[in-house]
Amino acid sequence: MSQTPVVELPAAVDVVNIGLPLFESALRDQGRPVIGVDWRIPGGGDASTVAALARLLGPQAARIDQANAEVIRRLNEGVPLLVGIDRAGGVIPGMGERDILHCGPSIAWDQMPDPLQRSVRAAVVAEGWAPDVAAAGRLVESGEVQLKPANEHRTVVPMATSIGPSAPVYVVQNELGGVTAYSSINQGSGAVQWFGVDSDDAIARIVFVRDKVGPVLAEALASHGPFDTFALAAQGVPMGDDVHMRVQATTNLFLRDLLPYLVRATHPAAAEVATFLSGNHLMFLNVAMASAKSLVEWAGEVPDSSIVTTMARNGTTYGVRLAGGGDDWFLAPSPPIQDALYYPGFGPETSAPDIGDSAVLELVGLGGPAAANSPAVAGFLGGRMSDAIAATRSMQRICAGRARGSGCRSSTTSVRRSAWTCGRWSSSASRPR
Amino acid sequence: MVELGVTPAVNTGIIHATAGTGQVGAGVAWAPIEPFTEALLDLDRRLT
Repeated sequence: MSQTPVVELPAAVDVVNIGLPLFESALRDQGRPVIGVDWRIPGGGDASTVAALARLLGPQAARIDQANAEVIRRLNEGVPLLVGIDRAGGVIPGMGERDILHCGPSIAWDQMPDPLQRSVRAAVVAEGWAPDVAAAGRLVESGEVQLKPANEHRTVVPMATSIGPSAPVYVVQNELGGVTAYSSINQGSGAVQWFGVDSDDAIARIVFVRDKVGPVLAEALASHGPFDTFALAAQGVPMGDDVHMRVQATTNLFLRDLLPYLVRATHPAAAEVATFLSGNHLMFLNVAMASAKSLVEWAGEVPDSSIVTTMARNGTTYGVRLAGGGDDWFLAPSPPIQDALYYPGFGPETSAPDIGDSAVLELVGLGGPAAANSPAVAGFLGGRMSDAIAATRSMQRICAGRARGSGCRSSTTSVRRSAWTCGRWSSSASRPR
Repeated sequence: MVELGVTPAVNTGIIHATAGTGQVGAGVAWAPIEPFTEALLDLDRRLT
């Protein structure tokens, strides 16, 4: 028998595992030290995607980087100012007197998810075009009502909101960019149209917002003068707001500033409206959304960019647009909400898919990217601040830029700079700048 | 984003799918990758 060669095996091995975590965990389970690198094939390994990435990160990189720098400049330098409240049909470009603007991309009535159909029916009744929701449904089915995506009309509305021409809207001006953007007034919680309810109470709330909240707020805003909305949000973020699912702090700051003018309001419903505003902790959400929209609309004019400047869902479809991509939406089915906490008795099986235009906030670094600052958001991500920080860092990897503070902000942190939030998503480049 | 397969996380409320009863929860929704991939491919077509 020949001698087996003696092989000198190393006594110790330093392992770096790239990719498949199975190898890494196997070593760790055996008590061996290992460095794991989270890597996967770019673009999911799809050949045409990889080829496109190679071009966009290669020969086209300089051109895209230059465009992206301009997009980020616009997002950082624009100053959204809330200047007042006005009738939607009177101010929203391209909105006609038989139009209903809805969240998300364009969608036919029969493709709309149930909550959005209910919302549209409620809006139609509130407009006075039909006596009840059943008649409203028939009216829409007959093609008598034009359903249009709010995003294509400088407007963003949260969750299942839909608005008719009589709805009062926040008017937010980005003077530097020459863009004005709009959002509805938040209806509060409970049986409300923006949560997909079409009951009599929900319709009554729409009417209350139109006939009482709108005029009272309009008067108070006119007396106060324009609000630098992101200066307020910049104070709210270090107070624990992500200014998307948690807006309490910024809402409180806003109402505190409005307080002297609300108290002096001459409208007969002023006290009733003040009570309503006091009870709505999400009030500033819509103001923040219109503010973000005023920035992304301007940024969206820059050609050749890889940055996402529209991101919105109608409950059936998820849609995005890139800066410089014109009117072209890119669509996919709207997914369920993955990291969720439900009220007792509810769960994923009875939940509508992701819906609303409020993803516009994520495009400017609020919401998801601002999780690291918000214990309230941490609750949805595992409960620890480290989970929230991990979420922000994950978003950081796909951002094209960082927000920077501005000398004209009175607070020490700009909302768009806190904890590495940036929220300008780059479709191609992953490298942080 | 497309390179890494990582999509944006959006903080959002959750509403009932069919009963019209309003909010049933809240959470973090991760965007699907497909629209961004399509947008990337369109950008590539426009530039090259």
